[in-house]
Amino acid sequence: MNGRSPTVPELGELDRRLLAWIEASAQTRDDGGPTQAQEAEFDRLALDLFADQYERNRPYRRYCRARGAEPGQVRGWREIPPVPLSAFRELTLSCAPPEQAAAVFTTSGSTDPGRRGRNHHPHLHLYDASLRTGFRQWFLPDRAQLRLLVLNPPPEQQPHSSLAYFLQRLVDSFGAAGSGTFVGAEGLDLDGLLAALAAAERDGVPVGLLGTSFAYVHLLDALEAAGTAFRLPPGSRVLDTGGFKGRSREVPAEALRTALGQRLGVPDAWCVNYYGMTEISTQYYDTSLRRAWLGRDPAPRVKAVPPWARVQAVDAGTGRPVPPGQRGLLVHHDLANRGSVLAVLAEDVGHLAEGGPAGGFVLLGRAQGSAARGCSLALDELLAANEGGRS
Amino acid sequence: MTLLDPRALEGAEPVEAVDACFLPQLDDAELAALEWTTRRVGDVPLRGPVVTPALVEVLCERLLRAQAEVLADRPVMEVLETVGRVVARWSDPDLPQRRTAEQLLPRITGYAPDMVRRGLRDHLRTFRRDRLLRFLAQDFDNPLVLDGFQPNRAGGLSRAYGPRLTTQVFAGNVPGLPAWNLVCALLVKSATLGKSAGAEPLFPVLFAQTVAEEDPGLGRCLAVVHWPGGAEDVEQAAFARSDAVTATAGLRATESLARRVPVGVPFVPYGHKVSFAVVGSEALALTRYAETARRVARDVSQYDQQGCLSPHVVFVERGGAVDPRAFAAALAAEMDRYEQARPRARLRLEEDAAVTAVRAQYELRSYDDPGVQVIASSPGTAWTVVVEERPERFAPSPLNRVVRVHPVDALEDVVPLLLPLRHHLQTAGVACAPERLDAWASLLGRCGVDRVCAVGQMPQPAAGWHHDGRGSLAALVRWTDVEGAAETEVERYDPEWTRPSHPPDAGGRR
Repeated sequence: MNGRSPTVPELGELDRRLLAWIEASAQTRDDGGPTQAQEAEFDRLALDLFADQYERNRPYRRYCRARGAEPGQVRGWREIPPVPLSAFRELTLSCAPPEQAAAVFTTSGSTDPGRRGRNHHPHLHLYDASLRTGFRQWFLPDRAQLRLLVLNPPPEQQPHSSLAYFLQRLVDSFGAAGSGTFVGAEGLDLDGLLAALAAAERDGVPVGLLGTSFAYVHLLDALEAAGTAFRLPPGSRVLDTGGFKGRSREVPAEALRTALGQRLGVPDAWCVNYYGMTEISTQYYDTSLRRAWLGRDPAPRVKAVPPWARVQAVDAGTGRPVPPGQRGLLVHHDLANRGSVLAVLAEDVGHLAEGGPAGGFVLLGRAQGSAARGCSLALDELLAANEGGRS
Repeated sequence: MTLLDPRALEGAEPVEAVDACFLPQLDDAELAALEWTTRRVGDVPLRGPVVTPALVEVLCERLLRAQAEVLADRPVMEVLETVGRVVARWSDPDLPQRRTAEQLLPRITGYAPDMVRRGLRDHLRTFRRDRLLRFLAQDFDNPLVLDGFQPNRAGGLSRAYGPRLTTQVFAGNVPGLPAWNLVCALLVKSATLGKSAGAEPLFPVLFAQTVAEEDPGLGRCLAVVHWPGGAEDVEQAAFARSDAVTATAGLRATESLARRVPVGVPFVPYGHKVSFAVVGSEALALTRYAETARRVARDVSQYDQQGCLSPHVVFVERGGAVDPRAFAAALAAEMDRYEQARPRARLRLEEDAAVTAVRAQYELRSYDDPGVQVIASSPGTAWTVVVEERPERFAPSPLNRVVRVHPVDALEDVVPLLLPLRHHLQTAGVACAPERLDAWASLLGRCGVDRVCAVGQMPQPAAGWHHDGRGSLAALVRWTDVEGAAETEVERYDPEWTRPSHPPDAGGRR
């Protein structure tokens, strides 16, 4: 993949309806949440997409049948069975012949390529529409373009990374002159990045930094070691995603934002975290920047759910939704996840904000499996031992 | 916003804060001067002092003094008799400490009350007086080596010295387990500074109380407190004053401790072990297979698989009267029956998620692999049996009553799956014809297994078991040998021979 939108045969009718819905939601979106009519239309689209995926995605059909969920019997999006993440590892969940996919994004978690999760995209029109609309709404409500500085490897280096693709598309769509990528084969190009930050400060040009949470930790450590700090111009902002996964020391989100304020001069509310994953096609942004821009109180920090997706928190044992405020596993119903399955059960823990799904949700982190009590062996510890024994 | 812990929703009556520490070394004024905190475990508020290096120093000093005064020179058989009387007290259902344990441990751990009651009773039976003799006999040809020098096989004399003080990091996964550590230390005449586990800090305190009631002197040789694992300054203070350190903990905690225990101080780690069962075709006879399934179900379900003695996997031999699939179905039925009688503890979200993920993974595999089948409770995650004909490896269970059944043609097929785990294997429960037991035990032992027992008895190791492959007592002691030649040679210096009236060279010629 080269970062360009792939050419595909003409979109089908369902794809056109979904695309129109995602793009229209940029105009019709109300910060108060969906209207009744919008909820009804979401339901119609979700059920039509479910019927299509049920028909064309054989393993998913089998999964649904085992749960007695078939098109025609499922009456609302909440009844569409979510597949666990392991389904993306164990099965080929593609609605189109996999070899014709415009993109196959894989997860990075496992060292064993055969055990990586794969999400097939027959085309990326819906993926692109989702990423553009969300980014504009929550990260760039105030302007059409911004100088974007990317702290992540480019798609050429990571052709199956949805993150690399995502960030490159943002630069293609919204990057003003001077945008660029500052991670190469040798890692973070610190000198280049410092020069770009210095130029932005000197010329009074606001910038947007995009990258993983741990990339910022490396940057901040380097700035501290050098005793350097910047006062980036007003309108500058930071987007970060993901955890640390052993790539750097763990830094709590609040501490990261404080450090970004001290070292880069970016206000707290303009530091935006988003949550996304390879298995879905939508990103969930902190609402802080948009709320600050609208002149509202940016607190509390919650993640926004765009109109083409729904998020629930469910009981891990029974799969039943839990009320707002109570911890549960997150379930996504994502209309942009066209190529595989729209409903996905994540391994992340969170809770809905008060006010229900329209109020957004709070991401608490990954479900870490059963913690070892005493002399019983933790799963990951034993797996590590197992891998060691094989090598 | 309140994030609700599922266990907080249980409707049991609130209890007053309970003291979860045992500190007979301190007087009332000293206790009052400590800073105290209350932690809620399950729905039980547990009170304890904030442990500082200074407190540890005082405790160690007094533990060492008590050990010198009342334990170091006490004959081992006297210690044994005392411990035997302590354990006999616990066989009384009206013992206040036992009643407290039976009332509070289910609320602290979430385990079913009946399971805790039976589990404690069965576990403590291991330390009855007659079994304690076996403990000694297993590790010492002549237990009197703990009291003085005794003849050894090499022609000299040997004496075994236990540590004066042992810092012991207790397990919290299975109630009652710390009794093992406390009893072993006392039998080798060591005082114990016990660090109780965050998940279950109460039992060792109750057990120590009964020791003190039976024998206040021995009680002064025990202290039990809780501090957060990895508190380096506290642990450094403890290790510096201890002659040995034991720990029943996970891999990371054990590694961390091993790095910090001073060189020269014996470190005895227990834990991070897995167990499994092997069911031979003989145990699948029409008149036997249901009972075999019931025994295996009990091994899996007891303490929700949290103990290192619990089987993760059952290998089932083909060629019996019922095939492995039918056995798996019978096992599932027995798991369900056990759940009705002794329901599994309620799980945290992460634990539930782990069970759900394993179920989903195997369900998805079963679509393309007819050798995979999931039999599971519904709704909820109470128990799960997974049949997998061709496992890639010995996969550990996420615990909480999830067991894999792997059909095999013969025990030899199991070996390649065991070898990668050879450093982590512990108990193998077996069910086979008598004439095969020896061959099976040899093969399993070679793979790293340190205990072979009958299925149905996996959670209850017999007295004297070489815990995790070592001598429970032998691992704690150091030896002093007096060489036989020395005995002979010192004759030279017998004053009788060195008096001037004798020739100078007369020594030794007798």
